[in-house]
Amino acid sequence: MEVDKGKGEAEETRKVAEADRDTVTLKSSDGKLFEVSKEAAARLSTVLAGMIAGGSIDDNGTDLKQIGSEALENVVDYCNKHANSIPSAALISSSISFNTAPFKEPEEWERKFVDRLSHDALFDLVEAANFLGMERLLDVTCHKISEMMKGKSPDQIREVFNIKNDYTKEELEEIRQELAWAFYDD
Amino acid sequence: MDPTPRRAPGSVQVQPTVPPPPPLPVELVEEVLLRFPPDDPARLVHAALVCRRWRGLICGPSFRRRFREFHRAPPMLGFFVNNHGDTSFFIRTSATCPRLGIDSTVVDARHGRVLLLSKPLSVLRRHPLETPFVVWDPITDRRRDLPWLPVVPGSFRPYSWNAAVLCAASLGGACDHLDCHSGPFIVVLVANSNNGMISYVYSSEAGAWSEPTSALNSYCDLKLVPTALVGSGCCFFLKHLELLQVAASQVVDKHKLLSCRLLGYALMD
Repeated sequence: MEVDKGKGEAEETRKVAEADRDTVTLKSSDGKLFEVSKEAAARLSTVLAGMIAGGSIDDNGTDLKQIGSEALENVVDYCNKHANSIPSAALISSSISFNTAPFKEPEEWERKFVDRLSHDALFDLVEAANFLGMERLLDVTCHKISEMMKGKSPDQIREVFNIKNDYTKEELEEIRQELAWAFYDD
Repeated sequence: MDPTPRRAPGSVQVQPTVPPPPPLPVELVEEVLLRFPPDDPARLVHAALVCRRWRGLICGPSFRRRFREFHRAPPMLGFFVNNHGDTSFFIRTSATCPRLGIDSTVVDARHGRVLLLSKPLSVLRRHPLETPFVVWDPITDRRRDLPWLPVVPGSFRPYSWNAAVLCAASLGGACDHLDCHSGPFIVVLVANSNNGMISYVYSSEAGAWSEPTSALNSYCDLKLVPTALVGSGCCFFLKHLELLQVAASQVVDKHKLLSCRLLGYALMD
């Protein structure tokens, strides 16, 4: 469904644009255009739903200046895959039942979707999902990142996430002793 | 997944020597940490040791509440076993749950707090209520020794008794218990004696036991088993209703709650 349109084609899109068309066109920070089903966009993104409801969708391509083309392509790809493969029951990710965990483990296709992403692409996609208010995509991408930390020591996590250690050796040792139970399997 | 260095702006070819990726923005780190499995608390400890900022997030005032809200039903990390009045022990049901050592008898546990006798029942030569209670937070290992009950020593030897520890806002139903473990609490003691049912309430804010209240017309033989918080009332189980030992939800459906107004909370009957 995603289309990287040239300018002429975008002009064509503008001509045929009607309020009742069933897709919306999104423009990445680097000017590339992507088309996505209006229904999927409204269902999966609170921000896009608000823009559609408020009539602030630009038929020439709604500017999403915070999102690069690679991340936006992945967002659109996710929306399309979601629309194609998910039964309606699985969409209820924000259960209101008190004792039911609202977080639903990623489905097989969602795992595959994030597994193929590079480290950079995954991080960019998390930011895009957060910006667009895509709760489910945020769940899936954040879950993937949390899985990347599984079984890793603080040193290894720092390495993967490029974080500088600002603790002193003594502080680390003190915390390790205080919370020794968390390090039995070291 | 192997980390791939993030592209520098304008560069075309990615080389291993390109500067490493910028860290994830802090608000997204929080989103990731929120999705840590709640039954593996050690992972949050490891993350807190990554850097001060992450520790600040995890230990901050809002994270615990958000974490609990996100995962709704809290995980079971383990349970206390009462060994016929001897020293209780703790069985872990999650491999990364802290090992908890206790040296006394557990009376009740709720909202992150454990109510203990200060000595195990088996070694007490006196009536159990002639030894003070202790409220213990097993995660922080903070203990608060409660004062003696306001009775003349040796004069209060009820036939049966039970006690519950609760977040202080429980009885009004005003707390969702997502983040109240370090807040004020109360301990409700119910006992039956020659004078009928008597209750005392300890308030952590007041640091003292209340004067006793009594329900003179009630007489119930209390069973020393864990109490149940049902709605805004705390329910104590009674000896002559064996059925009351099953799940509290079933009990509530099948038996009317006899509210002892004088006691200030509900008793099951």
